[in-house]
Amino acid sequence: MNNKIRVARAEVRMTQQQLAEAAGVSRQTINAIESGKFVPSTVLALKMAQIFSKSVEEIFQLEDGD
Amino acid sequence: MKTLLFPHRFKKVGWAIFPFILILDAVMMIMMHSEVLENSSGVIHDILSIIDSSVELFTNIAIIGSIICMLLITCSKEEVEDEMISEIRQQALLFALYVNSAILIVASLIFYSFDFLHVMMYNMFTIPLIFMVVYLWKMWILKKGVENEQ
Repeated sequence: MNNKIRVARAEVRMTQQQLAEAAGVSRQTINAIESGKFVPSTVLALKMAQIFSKSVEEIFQLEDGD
Repeated sequence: MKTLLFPHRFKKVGWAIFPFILILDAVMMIMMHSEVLENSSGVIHDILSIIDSSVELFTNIAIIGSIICMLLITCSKEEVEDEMISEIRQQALLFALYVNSAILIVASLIFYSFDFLHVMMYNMFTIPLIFMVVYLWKMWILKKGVENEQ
């Protein structure tokens, strides 16, 4: 799965720590999601999309192998 | 579903009693396997004699203390307890279960009679111990990975 979290964060100049606090998770989790090591739950993905005022599909995309 | 984890403050309690339990466990194991009580002298001999005279009490403290210590360290919430940490905890627990099962199978084939009883004595602790080691190792890698990022 691809994600554009880093881009979305850069657009609003948000740090990983700020995103973590807004989403109610640890900074390690945001880091792991961004680097593709962890797939967030539906609820967490929806929260993150809401924070950036985007749709979930704008931030997370399925890859061929998924 | 309500969580089965202890509140975060219990993790500090677990770590606080950890060194004492570790030393007690080491002393009890050494006393069990060697003649250290007879061969020692002075303060060490006095301490070992106290343990030897109330061996049932100290055995209970060692066993119960070890179990509680390991449970508090591994099953207390992290500062920020989220879904990724839950998954790490679950994976560590599964891994401990698999490794312990393998140890049991091998032990069952190799050891018999009182030797097997001896193995079972240590087997009381292997699941929580492996769980603790794997969980703490994964958490350490996670925190280290974040430090290397921006």
